[in-house]
Amino acid sequence: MTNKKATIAFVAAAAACALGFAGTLYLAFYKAELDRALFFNQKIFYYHVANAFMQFAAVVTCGVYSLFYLRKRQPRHDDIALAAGELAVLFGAVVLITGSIWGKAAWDKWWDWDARLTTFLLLWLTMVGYVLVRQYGGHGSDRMAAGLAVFATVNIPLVYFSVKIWRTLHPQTSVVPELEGGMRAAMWSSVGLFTIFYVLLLRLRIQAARSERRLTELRERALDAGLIE
Amino acid sequence: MARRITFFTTLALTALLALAGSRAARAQPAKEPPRSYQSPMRDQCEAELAKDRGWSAQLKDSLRPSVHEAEAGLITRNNKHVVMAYAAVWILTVGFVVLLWFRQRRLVAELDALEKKVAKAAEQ
Repeated sequence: MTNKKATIAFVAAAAACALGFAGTLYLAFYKAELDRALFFNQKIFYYHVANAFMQFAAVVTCGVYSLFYLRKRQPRHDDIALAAGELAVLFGAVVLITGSIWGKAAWDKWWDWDARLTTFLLLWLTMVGYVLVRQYGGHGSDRMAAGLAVFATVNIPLVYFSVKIWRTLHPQTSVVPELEGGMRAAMWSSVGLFTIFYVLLLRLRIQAARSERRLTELRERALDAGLIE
Repeated sequence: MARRITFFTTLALTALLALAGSRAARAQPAKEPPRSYQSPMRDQCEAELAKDRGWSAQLKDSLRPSVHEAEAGLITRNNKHVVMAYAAVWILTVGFVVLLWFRQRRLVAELDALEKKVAKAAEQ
């Protein structure tokens, strides 16, 4: 793809995102039926679940590209893994905060050491660890962080199936496929929107990671050549 | 003869059925609907309400449908948690995008500075 085409695609996707945010809010608040158990509080669900899906997608991207990096040592794989790792922390934080608010509305408590909540917190902390190792680990920390990302990816099935393995307060995984009518439309449009948003953010962050790498390399070359002090 | 036997047999069977029916009716008397409990304190309470006009008005006010509608509205349209959750989503997301933008600006500025330094060093 040429640079111009890529820019057009990026701007189109950003515009789609802006429209999508307005559209999903309209669907969630005006078209989706009021839930019989949680009433208005159920509206939190549409962005909470979409962000959880994106967190899983980001962790998987980070894990897969970390595995590629460990095998092939290609810096471009490492850049993608780092970008996805940061996004996993962002989406995970959104999920934890909105989930906590949901918990207060539904169960009258901000937090419970429930299996789903605890395994998700561990996954998020692992990704926070990944970013911290990348940020402050120094030389060689990229490989250590890559191992951590692979470990986090392996943890995803445990998080997903935790509601089936243990008795939990958290709703079952069958809730999303069983949605009907306006709720279904609001849910899947939110997932679609956050998928586009995730791809956009990933692209921006990869560009930043590449620029950082280029800057470091240029600085080292200039120092070696004695052009700068 | 046969006709007479049939007549007496029919008569006897009818009498038996009538007897059985009356017994069954006596065995299962029709159930009266249970009387609702009436408090012996009613008269006293009514008298107290008649004396205390404020209490009486308060009770009447709490029985208005609009009061119940407002309470139901508090539960069904509890905006507080929804606003908190959506605000959290926007703050975190916009915050991340702004940080990303600042980081990119810093990188571009550093690259420009490095290029200038290199160009200056090359001239010397």
